[in-house]
Amino acid sequence: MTGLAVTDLCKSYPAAGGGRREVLKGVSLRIDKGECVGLIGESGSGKSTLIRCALGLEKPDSGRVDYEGSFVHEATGPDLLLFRREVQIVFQDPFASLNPRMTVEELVGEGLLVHRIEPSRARRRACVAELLGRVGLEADAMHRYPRAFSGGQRQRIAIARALAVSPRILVCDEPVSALDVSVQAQVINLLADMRSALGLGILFVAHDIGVVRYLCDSVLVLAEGRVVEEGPTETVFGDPQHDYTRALMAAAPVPDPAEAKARRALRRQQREAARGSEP
Amino acid sequence: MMARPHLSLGDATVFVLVALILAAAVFGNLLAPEATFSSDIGNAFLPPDAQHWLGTDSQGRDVLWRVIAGAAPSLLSSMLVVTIYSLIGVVVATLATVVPRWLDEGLMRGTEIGLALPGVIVAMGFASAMGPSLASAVIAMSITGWPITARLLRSITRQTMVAPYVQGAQVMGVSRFRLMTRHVLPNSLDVLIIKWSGDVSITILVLGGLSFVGVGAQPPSAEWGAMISDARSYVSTAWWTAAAPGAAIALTAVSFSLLGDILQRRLGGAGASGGARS
Ligand SMILES: Nc1ncnc2c1ncn2[C@@H]1O[C@H](COP(=O)(O)OP(=O)(O)OP(=O)(O)O)[C@@H](O)[C@H]1O
Ligand SMILES: [Mg+2]
Repeated sequence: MTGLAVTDLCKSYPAAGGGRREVLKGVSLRIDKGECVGLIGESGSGKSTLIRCALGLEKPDSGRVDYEGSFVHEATGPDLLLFRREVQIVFQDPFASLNPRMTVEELVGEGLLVHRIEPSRARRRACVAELLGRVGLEADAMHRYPRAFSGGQRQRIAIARALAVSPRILVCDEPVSALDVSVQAQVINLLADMRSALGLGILFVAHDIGVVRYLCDSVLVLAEGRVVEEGPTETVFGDPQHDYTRALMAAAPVPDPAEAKARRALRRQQREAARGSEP
Repeated sequence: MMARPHLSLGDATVFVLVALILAAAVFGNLLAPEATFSSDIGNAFLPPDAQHWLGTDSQGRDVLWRVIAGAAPSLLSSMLVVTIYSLIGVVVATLATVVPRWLDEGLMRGTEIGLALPGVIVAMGFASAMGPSLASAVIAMSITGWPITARLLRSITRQTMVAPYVQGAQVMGVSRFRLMTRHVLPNSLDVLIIKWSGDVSITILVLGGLSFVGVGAQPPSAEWGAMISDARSYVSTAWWTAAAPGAAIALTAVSFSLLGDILQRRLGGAGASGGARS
């Protein structure tokens, strides 16, 4: 079981005022099949960049990405095909992640077609119907275009599309943060179900501690392009070391009123400390 | 389907005009009486009256029928020119999108050279090399028009390539061919439909101008520019012989330009951004 491993990844982009801006400064992580890893970090800390590099959409400056023992950025032929089949992604914005010119049938069936899993159209259609059922959509949804669906439904379509090729690892870049709170839980539960039913490994990018706690076995905290904290979820959240982790925990809603009160006090303290530290 | 804005009277007028001009271009030659194409000197320069609504020309031919018959060489040739160079532009932009970056940059440098080469000059060169004809003007305009289309489309595909649905398709391992034909191009080409109409409008003027200066269609042809050229010497005595084809060019150019604006209003924004929210 080797899964997806990212080692010492560095990535920079040309900066606005000339020179380069380092977005990732030596990041390592690994996801084994069946394991769920959470990735948290402030906006701009490089989470999406890390994902784009890990999926071979962008070339890192240095460092490497392996899947099942082969280098993703140099893979060709069958190795590349295996990677392109076994590692899939679900994006944040379900309004931008589904091609508006394809029907749901084409969207969900695309992987089955391009990987020649179901070359026959009729069989593919049956497969799509089954996948739609699995994510809680009616089979006749397949004849419509994405614009006919709500955000939560679109995210289900995106998940069905990714699951069609029986991936081993699913990368989710903030898959619920564009959705209504009421719909978020449904999509999270769907991912949790798929994980236990299919033995799926998940890399889950999120801002919401509650979700990460519920879903993930281990968690990494990314700040300014470095992993500043990592370990089993309960260890990291039980004794947060980094400011960002603490701030995130203080911001998370807490069901227990007494603890919520304590958190509010902590937040106030932090705000005052922050104000005090300004010149 | 998406809700469309209601058809306004102005838009309807433009659609009707374009439809009439297209009908003239397709059926005009079949419907025109034979006399439209043969001379009858005895009836030359008759002013507009009940029988010849727009009068007759130096050869005694009915000007209205000649204008109608001229729609085919004038409009269809412009449409052909714009269609050919748009297709070349699509091919170049598509290639630039899929090849390695250095080749992409090379191709775009190439289009800059192409941009610096005006179609009119090339048309004159062709006319002196092959003899002036509508065909030589059409070829010259077709092979010089594409750089603007290619650059416009390349800038759009550059945006479309980073759309999450395109990146998702790459993660899924679709071939480059499928990526372009199913994901990138369908979400990038809307703007060309809009541009096509505006470009036909301009090309009508340019091709007409080329014929007028003797580089395009030649006299017996009812091409509008050639008709004006033919009528040049008689403008003071038989103004209608030049005014009618002139008005036809203007009306057609304006109609297609307005059609472009209408298409822009109706299609613009929806596909260009890719993520068409409803
Ligand atoms: N293609 C690019 N060109 C230039 N700069 C980029 C590019 N992609 C990302 N960046 C920069 O890299 C930094 C990290 O971006 P990234 O999208 O990885 O952050 P993120 O952690 O995913 O943030 P968010 O939580 O807002 O999604 C940002 O400052 C961004 O401006
Ligand atoms: Mg991001």
